[in-house]
Amino acid sequence: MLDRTLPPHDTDTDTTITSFEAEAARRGALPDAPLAMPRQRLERGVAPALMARLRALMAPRLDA
Amino acid sequence: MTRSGPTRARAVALGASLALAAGAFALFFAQRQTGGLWVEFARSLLILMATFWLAWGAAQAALGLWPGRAAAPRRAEPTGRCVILVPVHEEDPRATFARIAAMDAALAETQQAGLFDFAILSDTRSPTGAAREAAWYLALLRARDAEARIFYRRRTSNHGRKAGNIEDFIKTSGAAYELALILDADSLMSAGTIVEMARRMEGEPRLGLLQSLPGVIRAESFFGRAMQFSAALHSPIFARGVARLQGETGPFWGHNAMVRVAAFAESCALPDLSGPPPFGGHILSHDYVEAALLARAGWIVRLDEDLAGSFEEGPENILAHAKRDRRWCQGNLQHARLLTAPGLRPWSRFVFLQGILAYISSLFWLGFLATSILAPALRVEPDYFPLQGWSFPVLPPNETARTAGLIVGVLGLLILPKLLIALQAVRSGRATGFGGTWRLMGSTLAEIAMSSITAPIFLMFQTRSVLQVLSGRDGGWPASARGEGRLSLVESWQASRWISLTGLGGLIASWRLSPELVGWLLPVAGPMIAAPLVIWLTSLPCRALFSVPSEISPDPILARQDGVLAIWAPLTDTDAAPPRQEPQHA
Repeated sequence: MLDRTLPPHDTDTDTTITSFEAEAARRGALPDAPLAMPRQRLERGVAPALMARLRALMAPRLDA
Repeated sequence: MTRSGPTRARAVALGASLALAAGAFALFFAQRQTGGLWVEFARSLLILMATFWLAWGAAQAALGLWPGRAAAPRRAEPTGRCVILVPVHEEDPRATFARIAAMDAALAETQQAGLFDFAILSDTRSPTGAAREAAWYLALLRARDAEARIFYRRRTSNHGRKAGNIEDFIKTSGAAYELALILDADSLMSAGTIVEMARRMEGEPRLGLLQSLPGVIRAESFFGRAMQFSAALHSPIFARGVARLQGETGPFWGHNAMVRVAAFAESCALPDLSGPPPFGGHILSHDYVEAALLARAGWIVRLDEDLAGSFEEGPENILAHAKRDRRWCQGNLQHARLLTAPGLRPWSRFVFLQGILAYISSLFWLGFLATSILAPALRVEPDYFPLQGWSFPVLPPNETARTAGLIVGVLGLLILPKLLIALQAVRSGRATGFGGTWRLMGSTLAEIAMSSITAPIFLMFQTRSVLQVLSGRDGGWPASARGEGRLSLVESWQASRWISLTGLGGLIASWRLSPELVGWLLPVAGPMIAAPLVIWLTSLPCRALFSVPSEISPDPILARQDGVLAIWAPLTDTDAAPPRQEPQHA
């Protein structure tokens, strides 16, 4: 299965490894087949709206 | 299972758990000391909550002990394309990609070979980690001749963490596939199981997510092997109980599960919650939420615990377990924000509540222990002649008898299910996979002893996690601790000396305030005081105990992974990458 894996060789520097990132990105590119994912609603509107209102009410006093 | 199946199972399990909890409350409160009524009521209430949680676990095991359903009829072979997603975040690429190579080679030998692609979805941020991944990815491509079949991409932004990583893939490439098998970096699945999952997905068009039960493999330490043994022996029974309770509103554990891509895309784009972490921001335990969202959209979410050939690796020591549990704790407590989310099925809300209770229960136990130690200081002098004209003294009940009753009850709820599962394994012949009856019983007793000793230590870690989250501390996104589990005594001491000191403090307080409790507190305080020693000892290698089927008759996929690792073992990171640019495949 892995008979084409190369035997060890001597070059052993980080810079050599880094140069392979571009090749990996190119050869590993994902298929171009986009699919929409609509954002789900998990919070009821009341709580965030109430918090925003409270913040708006408090903000001038906090600034003062 | 019919629709009435889960309803009946839920009624039985909830009814039994509530009855046991109410019984414990009534017994404890009826035996209260004279005076200190509110203290006693609070203690009884803590006992009610804690007993409910234990009884709920025992009820799941009892439901799972019932025989399984008949095997599903053989369905048509799958024809839709399936992508196997492997999200990685600062993992060891050699080990992770060896699993992919093994699964790819196994799938290549099936009739459905052409249907499966792999996509390695990296969220690795460190430059060294990214470079290693790239080098080993090229080695993987070369080994499997897999260009345009095994993909690799690294995100520039980690938004949404693992859930965001998968969402990013679906937005880029989701339309190319009907099914997606979501794995973790340490997941390993046999080709037969993967194909069977695809077969079951195609056989039931309403099925949005199919969860398998991953068995733990390759544990080396005493702690790891005890967890592996427990997962192999107990988990299938508990999982069958869970499956019966949840029915079509089943669980998603985040990996080793197959989803219908269209269903996942339309239902599972998670929003950021308002406010800062730990309760706002990204949804940490996304899997439970995704399962709830699929059910909200009308899709079936199902756990098929009969699917063999699904594996993962577990934490090798108590500290690694506690680190993972800190993340899960924050994720589960964050679900408090979602209890009132619009449109969710009642059972999904209950599952969120159950997850929250799993962590909050540690506070109940600790609160109970603290009030038990302090109770004598708050107690008023007993009145031996409370009734006028009654010449015989009424003696207050003995605290020792109450504590003894409590310990017996707790041990019964914790230990009895494990013993019943072991007996059922002996009766059904399943014991053979665990080395035979005697070996199985020995391992069961050793696992019970270990979990009893480590329970107070986990109680403390869990309590600390809960308090950290409640005080607003975000745990961040640390890399998973995998592999070598052996700890030094110094490491163990540094991580758990606060537990030792807390245990010692509790024991001294008990000795000063209620000396009659000291003996009963020792099973809790003793392991706490000895926590560094327990953590160190359980991290040491152990092969004598805890034989499991994956060792006695291992799945061939494990041997394949070993084969890949053996070939890659001599290679350094630099060797893994090719010495020069290879011509691009057509």
